[in-house]
Amino acid sequence: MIWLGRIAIVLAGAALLGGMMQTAPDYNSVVQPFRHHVAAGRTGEARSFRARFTGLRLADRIAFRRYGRDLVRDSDGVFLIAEIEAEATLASQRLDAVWQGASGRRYALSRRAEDIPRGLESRWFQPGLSNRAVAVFELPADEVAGGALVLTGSFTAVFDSALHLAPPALPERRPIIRFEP
Amino acid sequence: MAASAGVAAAVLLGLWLKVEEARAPQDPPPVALGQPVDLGRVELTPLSLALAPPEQQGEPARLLMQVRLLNLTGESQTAVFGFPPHPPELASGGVVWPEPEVTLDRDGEMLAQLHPRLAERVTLAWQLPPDWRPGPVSLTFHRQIFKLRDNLYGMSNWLLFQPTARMTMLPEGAP
Repeated sequence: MIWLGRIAIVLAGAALLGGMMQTAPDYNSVVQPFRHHVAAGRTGEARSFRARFTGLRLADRIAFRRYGRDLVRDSDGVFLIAEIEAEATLASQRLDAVWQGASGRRYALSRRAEDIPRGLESRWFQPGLSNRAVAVFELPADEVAGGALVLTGSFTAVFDSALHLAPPALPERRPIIRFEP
Repeated sequence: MAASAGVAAAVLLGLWLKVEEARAPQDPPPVALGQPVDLGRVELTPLSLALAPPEQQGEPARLLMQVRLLNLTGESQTAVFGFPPHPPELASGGVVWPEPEVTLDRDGEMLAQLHPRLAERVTLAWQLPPDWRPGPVSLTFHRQIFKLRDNLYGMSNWLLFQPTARMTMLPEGAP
């Protein structure tokens, strides 16, 4: 009978440990930015910046000038051009953006559109000075509706704010959009 | 007592598995043109392998492999062939060639990132070594292992690379 009691204690311990292992949140879900969902047209307040999603354009191709060369980029998907207005609130800083598509997949700023005029990756935001910038993403067309622009104050943003900005009304898709300097 | 027996059994099992692995080293399975290969972050489908003339006068000729790449993850990837990068490893006569240049077929620019659900055709270009004699070449594809919870922090992580497939063929245009 003593053996039965000991076996029961071991089994109960194993069950408790198993339960704790199954229910403990994993590292990825614990170490996350703090999300703030912002309705279309509203200004979102993050810890170190505030921002507004001012415009959205869709294009099959984009054209811009870089290092004296005219470049045209095409895609099997669509180019999403997000226009934002933002200002820092604590110190000069840059912003990073990701498009979280309708499926939940995350699309980074397109490296094929680097160095476009007013591009977000080259923009600094100063405290008290509102500034405009453009973020270009390349993604499948069905990821646009139902997606959101995620703005963060750094490239990791762990335990920092992340603004999830709902897009304004979806525009018509244009064959080409040219970025003028 | 029970814990000691368990540890001893685990050590012996691990040792036995290592011995088995060493006794019968497993070659990665062969693949052919058109067959997709899972590299972890991306799916690579080799489409063609051909010799090509030099890009500029005075440079060596090139070996070009056209592939289709599809991002299998949920986010844009800059490390398309993993980190550190493990692009397809080309060997001829037992000699491994330096890493290839990877360019987008779309506009000839270097491949900088790959977005989910947007497949891209790219070309991998190797410069032919001056002493290379035309013959079959072998391409080894490496797959990076993904763990949803690693053993250190319990975080998702990309870990070791393993050979996952090998393609041996004579490039088009070789005499």
